[in-house]
Amino acid sequence: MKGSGNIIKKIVLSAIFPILMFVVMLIITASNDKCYVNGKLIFLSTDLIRQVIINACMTICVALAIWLQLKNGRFDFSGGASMILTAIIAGNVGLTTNSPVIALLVAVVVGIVLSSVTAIVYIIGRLPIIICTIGMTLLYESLTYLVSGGQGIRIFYSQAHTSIFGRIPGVLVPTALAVAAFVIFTYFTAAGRKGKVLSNNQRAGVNIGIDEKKNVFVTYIFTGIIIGLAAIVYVSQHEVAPQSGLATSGIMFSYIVPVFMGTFIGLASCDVVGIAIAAIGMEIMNYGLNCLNLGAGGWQQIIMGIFVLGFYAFSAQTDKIQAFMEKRKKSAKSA
Amino acid sequence: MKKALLKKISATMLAGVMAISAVGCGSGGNTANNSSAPADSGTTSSDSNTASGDSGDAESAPAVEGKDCTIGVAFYTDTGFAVDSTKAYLESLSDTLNVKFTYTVLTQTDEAANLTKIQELISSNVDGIICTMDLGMTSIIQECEAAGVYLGGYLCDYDTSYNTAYDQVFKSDYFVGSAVDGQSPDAVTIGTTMFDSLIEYNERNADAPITHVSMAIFPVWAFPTQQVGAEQFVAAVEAYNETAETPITVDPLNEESDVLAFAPLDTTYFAKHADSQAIISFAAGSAFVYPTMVQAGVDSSMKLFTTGFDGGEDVNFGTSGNGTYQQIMVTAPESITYPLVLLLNKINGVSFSDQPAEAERVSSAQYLVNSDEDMASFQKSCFFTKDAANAMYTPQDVLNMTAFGNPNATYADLKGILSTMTIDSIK
Repeated sequence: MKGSGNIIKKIVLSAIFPILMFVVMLIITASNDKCYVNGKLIFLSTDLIRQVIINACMTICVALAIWLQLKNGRFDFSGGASMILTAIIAGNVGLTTNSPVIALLVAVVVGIVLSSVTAIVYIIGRLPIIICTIGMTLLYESLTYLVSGGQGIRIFYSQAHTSIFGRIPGVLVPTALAVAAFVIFTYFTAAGRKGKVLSNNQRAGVNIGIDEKKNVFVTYIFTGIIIGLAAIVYVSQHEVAPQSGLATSGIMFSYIVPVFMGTFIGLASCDVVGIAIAAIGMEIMNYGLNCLNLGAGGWQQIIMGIFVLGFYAFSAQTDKIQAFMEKRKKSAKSA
Repeated sequence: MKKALLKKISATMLAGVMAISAVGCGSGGNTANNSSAPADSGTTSSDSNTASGDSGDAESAPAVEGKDCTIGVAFYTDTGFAVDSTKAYLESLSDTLNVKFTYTVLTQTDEAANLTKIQELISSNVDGIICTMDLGMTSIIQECEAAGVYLGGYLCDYDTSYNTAYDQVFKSDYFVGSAVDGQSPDAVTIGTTMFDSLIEYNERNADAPITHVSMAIFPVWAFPTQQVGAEQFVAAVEAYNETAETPITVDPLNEESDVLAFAPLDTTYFAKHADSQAIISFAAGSAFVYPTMVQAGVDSSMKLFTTGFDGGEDVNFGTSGNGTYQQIMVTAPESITYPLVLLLNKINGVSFSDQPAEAERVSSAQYLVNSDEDMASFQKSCFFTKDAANAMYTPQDVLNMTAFGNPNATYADLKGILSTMTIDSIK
């Protein structure tokens, strides 16, 4: 009985963020004339569900790739470059073979290869992670100009039969696979558990016999799988042009907000659920802003920035809030 | 004591080496005049549509060889069909015109960065520059005047300079004029062109005509002609509706949702224009409208009439693929011939007998592709194939357009070629 109560509590606490976001955006849009077309509130159209799912799936894939490295104590700048290069290669193969499934397989393989190369350079080079991954980012970005004549990949996303993994329901496949890869690594492999020890105290981990290099390599392989899956969703939804000057890091960082929010929301359940819930909540907010014609440009950035700042400020005070609540409880009992 | 002396000697020697290197770098650009004969006219023949009248005379007249020179071309981006095809076309002219080309990319937001790019070109000893952007022009033209380097425009109407710095830019002896990407602001017709394409589509599809459209434009401060074009389109539809059996409804331009701040169309655009069957996008639809159409899943049910071509539009054009695209418009890369010839004339110290006193911005005709037949022709163009063998003009044709290559060549003829670069002129 207590167990089922706990589960319900976890579900409610996890779902509260997107539900609150939906209610807030509903109130705001419903009170704004701009959001009505022919008397209908556009925020409540079926398009909301479609856009939230499509965009959240993309966000979840990239966010999981970022978080997998972060929770193992590394910040991998090369993730975005790996994703873009993988997307260009897989997209071109998919176009040539006319098969999105082959494109998906190629994306996963290329994602693993590129991540492995990054891992090898990191391990053998004994470089600080920031130097190593920025260097690899520049290398992979330069390769985007060499692959397919520097043209990137343009028409993969625009053909219904090749872009199934960017549309509903196909987009759920790579997303589910990415979640599965993350869960398997984190909760069902020794490397995942050892990674937790290493990120908390690397020296202690090594002293108790954890092979740090092997752990790094295995982590990168799983990251490569998730990056490959993120790449197939990305190339199925966007034109992908060659990139330079660390622009790929910007692409990657645009998906980072749900990572930090997700770790807080995930306290009620687990990190992967938290990231997914955060991504859904943020996409609901984005859709609401779109309805208000604030979906692009300065205002969107300002609103998003203030919201994220407020969220982080609140989440950073969690311990104090908990302590305050405990104190009040105790004083109420004693009274 | 000995060690200190050794250090001093080493330092002096190193400083000497550096000084010699610096001097060496500075004098590397001027090479001896290459007296190789102009290359043969190549594999393609002239279309005889422009300078052809003078070509015959020129062939009999002794052609003067142009000076060895270098021209820098500053593009707005480093990749894409327009850039690649222009480079292919220019490189094909290199031997015959004795010109080497060097390329750079300007930014769309940073005047100082653009000035630096131009300074870099000047430092590399270019004799002329073709610029595709009107940002920081007053500083750039001053820099060119100081260095004795001529400047021409391509794919740009230089509207900011035209309205705010006409005397400094257009009256400068070092600015030769610009070939505008489509209509210059003085002669906008894009609205009626869009309307004509819509009517042509409806005539071809009389059983399922488009009766409700919406529009998309870039901000007025950046592209004032698009606002004018949109107004022109609405006026044309209103005039059409007065007598039409099946009237067309145009959603009024919504300043907030239909003006794209150089970001893709909002996903809620389609909910806000729920009854629209087609988008008339004066803004670059391939990059800013079509991706959102795909994302929203309306690429099969809605049509797109737009400008530009980024590659891949042909797959879903007309009756092909999902048939989203029903119109694209691009400027022929051969339109760079206009500023190129004017620059070469300046560099060679000659000018046309009818050369205007002040530089002009001249509208270039565009490839208007709004049917399957047009697309088939377009796919043979230099723009699409990026192959100079498909260009409208051979190197010899271009040489004949210059005042030094053909004494009978005129400015009117050169200006005239820009109006002939239509889809029908593709061989």
